[in-house]
Amino acid sequence: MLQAIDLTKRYEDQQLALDALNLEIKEGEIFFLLGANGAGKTTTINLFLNFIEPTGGRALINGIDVTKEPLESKKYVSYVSENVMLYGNFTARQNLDFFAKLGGKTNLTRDDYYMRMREVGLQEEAFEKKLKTFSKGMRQKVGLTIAIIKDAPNILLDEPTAGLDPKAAAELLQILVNLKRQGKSILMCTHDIFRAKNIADRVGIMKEGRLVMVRTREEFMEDDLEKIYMNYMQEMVIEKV
Amino acid sequence: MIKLFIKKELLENIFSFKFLIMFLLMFFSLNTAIFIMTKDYKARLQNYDILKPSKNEAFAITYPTPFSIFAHGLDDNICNLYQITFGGQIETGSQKQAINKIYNFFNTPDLLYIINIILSFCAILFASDLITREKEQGTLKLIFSNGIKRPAFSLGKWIGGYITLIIPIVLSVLFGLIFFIILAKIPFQFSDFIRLLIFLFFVLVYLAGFFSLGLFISIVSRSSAFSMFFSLIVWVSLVFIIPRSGNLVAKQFINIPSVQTIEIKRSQIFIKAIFEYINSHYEKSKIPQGIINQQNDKIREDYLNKLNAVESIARKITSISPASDLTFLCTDLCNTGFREEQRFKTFVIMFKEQVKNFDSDSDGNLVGDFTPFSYARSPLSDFFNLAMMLHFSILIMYILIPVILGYYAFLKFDVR
Amino acid sequence: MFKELLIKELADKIFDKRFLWFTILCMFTLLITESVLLNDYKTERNDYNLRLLTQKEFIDKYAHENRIGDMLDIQRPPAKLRLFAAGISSDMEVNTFTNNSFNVLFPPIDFVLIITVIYSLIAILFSHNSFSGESENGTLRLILSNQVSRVKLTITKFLGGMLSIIISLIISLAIGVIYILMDNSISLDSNDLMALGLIFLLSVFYISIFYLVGMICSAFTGSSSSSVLLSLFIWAVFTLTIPNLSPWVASQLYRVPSINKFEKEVKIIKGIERDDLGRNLCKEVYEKYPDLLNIIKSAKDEKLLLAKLENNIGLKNEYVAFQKEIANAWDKANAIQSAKSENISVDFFSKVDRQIALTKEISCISPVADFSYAVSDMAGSGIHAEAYFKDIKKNFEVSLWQFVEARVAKIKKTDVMYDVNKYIDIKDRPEFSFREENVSGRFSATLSYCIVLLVFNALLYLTLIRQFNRMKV
Ligand SMILES: Nc1ncnc2c1ncn2[C@@H]1O[C@H](COP(=O)(O)OP(=O)(O)OP(=O)(O)O)[C@@H](O)[C@H]1O
Ligand SMILES: [Mg+2]
Repeated sequence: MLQAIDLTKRYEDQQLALDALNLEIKEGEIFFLLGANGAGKTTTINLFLNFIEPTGGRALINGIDVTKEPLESKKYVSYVSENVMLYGNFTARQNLDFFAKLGGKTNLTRDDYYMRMREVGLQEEAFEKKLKTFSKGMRQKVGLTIAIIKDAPNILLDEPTAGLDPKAAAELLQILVNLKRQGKSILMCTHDIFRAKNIADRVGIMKEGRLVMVRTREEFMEDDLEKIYMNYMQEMVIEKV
Repeated sequence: MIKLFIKKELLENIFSFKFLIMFLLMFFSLNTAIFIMTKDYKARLQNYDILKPSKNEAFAITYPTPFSIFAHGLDDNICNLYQITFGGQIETGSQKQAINKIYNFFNTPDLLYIINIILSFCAILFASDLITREKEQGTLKLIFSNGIKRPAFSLGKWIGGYITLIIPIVLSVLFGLIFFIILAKIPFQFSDFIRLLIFLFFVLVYLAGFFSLGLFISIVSRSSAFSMFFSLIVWVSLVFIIPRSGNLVAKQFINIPSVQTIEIKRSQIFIKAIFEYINSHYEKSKIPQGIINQQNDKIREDYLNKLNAVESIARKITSISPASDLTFLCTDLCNTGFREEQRFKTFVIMFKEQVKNFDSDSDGNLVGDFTPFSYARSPLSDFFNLAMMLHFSILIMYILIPVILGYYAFLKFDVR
Repeated sequence: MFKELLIKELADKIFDKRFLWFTILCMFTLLITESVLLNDYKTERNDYNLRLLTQKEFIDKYAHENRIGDMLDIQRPPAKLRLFAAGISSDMEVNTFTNNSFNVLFPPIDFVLIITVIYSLIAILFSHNSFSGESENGTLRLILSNQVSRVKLTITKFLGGMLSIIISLIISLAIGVIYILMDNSISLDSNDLMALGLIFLLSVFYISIFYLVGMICSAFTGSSSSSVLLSLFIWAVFTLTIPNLSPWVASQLYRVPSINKFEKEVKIIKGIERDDLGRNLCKEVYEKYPDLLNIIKSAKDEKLLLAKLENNIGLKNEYVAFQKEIANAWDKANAIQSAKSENISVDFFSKVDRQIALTKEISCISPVADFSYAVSDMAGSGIHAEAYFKDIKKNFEVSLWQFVEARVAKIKKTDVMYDVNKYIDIKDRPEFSFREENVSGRFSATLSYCIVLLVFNALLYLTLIRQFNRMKV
């Protein structure tokens, strides 16, 4: 379970990136966070991972305050970053091995890694190739595998579908659905409205650091999600003018 | 957890391009240095055999030490041929070996030079992007999304990185030792190997200092490009600028005449004494030996005192840099340093005192029945003294300060 | 098009945070170095003047034919531009019991070091991602999608980058020179300023070599991280390893016996060997005069002998002839041994010269060596400058000897009691004066190094174009 209570972040340059965010993502729920570039999505994720200190409010992972017990809280979360570079000199499997051990999974075998990589749709011949030879999408898949292997109850994804081919993106979402079925809470930041429509349980739209709208699946299925999103974006333009 | 990080660090680096180039550079330069200096040592040994004084010659000379292969230092000065002549003058061949002219432009490429300059370059460069690279790859975020304690990570990084750094050094030095020193039958005794071990220990401490500095810079910089740039600036200052300006700066404080002035004064004393002696029609009472000796002693003592003062100031200034500390430590350890040179010179002066009253033949060579000069280099126990501890503790400081600062900087480190 | 690219490149470098940092560092280092070296130069010059004075006073007071050579040790004044290249100072040439050993362990810093270590390093750091960086950003593809030829792009990149470094070099050099000019104790004439200009040019040629190396590595590897490593290690090999190793390798290839050994041999030839030869020659003379020898032996001392000889005129003549022959015998021994030692020394020094030439040639494969030789010769502190001084010194010594001999001949005419240990008045002797070689002379001496540097540049530039044409974008 992921919880944000009045979570606020003001950067050193006084930029208010996140303004009193209140959010709760339950077990077995996929939450899609939409929003223009610079809306504050990555900031939210960084706050959950305690990469930055909040200026106000709290972020809780499974009820654990991340600023108070950062190490403990991270046991229960796995993360897929925006641009996964990973260790270029390691093969895909070596990368997995290292991060799996970091995540506390010390007894996995080579076959386990292979199986997981097959699950995300990585080609067989790439398993033992050095990561610096990988394409962007392939790296993204390895990054996702790392998150899956950790098998934490909460998953944070920052634009994981960027750079994936349509088939791979569809597969990724299928995997997310499977994970959800296992009872994981998933927070995914994305620009991909169509996917959101397909699998999200709830969708939130952020604008200038505020969560301006949250709709459940039933609600946004009635309206056209795309339209709603555009409306919110337009308002911003109007406001500025 | 630390073990995991160490293993990862080793695996990641050993198969990298950086490691390969570093290995090649180290292997090539260390072994060429050992090879060349071994040859040089042998040549100087032959030279010594030729110059070795026969029974009734007032020559003071000592054998070159095999340790000059590692730290050549002042061994050329120490192995100079000094002749005591009429009136207790200490003469050398007036000219230096002409090839020195070219050597003057460059440092002697002994093992110490390679370590001092090239290995420190490798060490700081190697460490300078260990953290920034992880940051640029995005792996740092991924690692810390796992609830890893930061000290564990940084310690693993330090140990793993340091081990990868010293693997090629240890391998190259071992290779050089086996092929050029043991197989070439350089006369090393067992106690010499202890010296060698201490030497290697200093080297490892020295390189740990540069490695820590690089790592610290890597922690506080935002990008690899900048941390590399900054590391190189630090390296240039510590290895080139500070050691090389020490002598010049020290000379600003003490007015010291040039060697040539001393030589002129010395020759004038001799000429004047003889001139007056001859022109006073050889009065026995005025035999000039004593006068020459006395005046020479005075000039020399004056000069050496000043020189020592300059040296001690220069030593203090240059000690800021770990490169000069290592130079002082290793040259003293290898019996080719200032301490050994001074010790040798006091022996020469003692020898002079013994023979100064003998008469000379028409060419100024002393003739008589004196015990020939003999000199043994100082024993290892002499090496451990206060000055050495001071230099060593500065080397340790260069590890501790960056490590401690880096530790705290890393705790506050912004992973974003 | 050309202009835009050039300006972009220049602006890119100048507004880099690192540009400011290193310009400050270089300025600072150069200024400290100059001020310390200037002070050092002043003390050296005072020391030199003092030496001249002591020598002059001493000779005025104690000149005598026997040791005039020892008294007059012609001194070389410190070169004015030594501030820029320490080169070899005359102090390093002499080998005495009282050496300043600190110089051996820590050679002093100078402008040459600043160029060869700091500036060349900066050149590499600035150029190592000229292509790889842009290729990673994707801007290289953008640029090449316009009507820009690859050759043109390399030229603009090279010129723009070098220009930024030259600007920084000019700033720090100008500050150094202004500092020196402000201090009135040293007067730089047009000769020196021209030499400085040439030193500046040489520095530019030298730096550009490493700028090109960085660019080549960038085009070769195509990735910033490997290109910086590759170029830095190439830099280390060419600046720190090869120049230091090559003279030693050369001297191993062509061995010259040690100078100590040579000096010892000469001493023996002129000492023990000469004495033996002299005695042998004397023996031959003794055999000619057996009777006389008996008389000499039987006489207890010189007075008795002379008394005996007084009484016998035949014997006396014989004795005079005998003495003459003995003297001749010694002269002969001296002449033979001198010729022998002369032979040895000619042989030895020609070998030494050959060794030095060979060593220099071999070390010229490293641009650092070329640069150091060239700058130190240009500054008047190098090997060529030393040889130039020695030539002038030799000529002066010849003329001085002629003067002394003429003076002695004159004295001998009036003074029958003259001997070589007697004071002679040579206060009106010619004075030695030394002017450093003019710029054209220095330039022709360094021309070959300049050419080598330029050839390096040209070759590297060709390699760069080849490499860049092959690079995939
Ligand atoms: N380190 C920082 N210092 C100052 N301001 C920052 C920093 N990082 C982000 N910001 C600002 O905070 C706001 C939110 O940034 P954030 O990265 O969270 O956006 P985002 O929603 O992830 O955008 P995108 O869709 O482009 O990834 C932006 O206005 C950005 O300018
Ligand atoms: Mg983002």
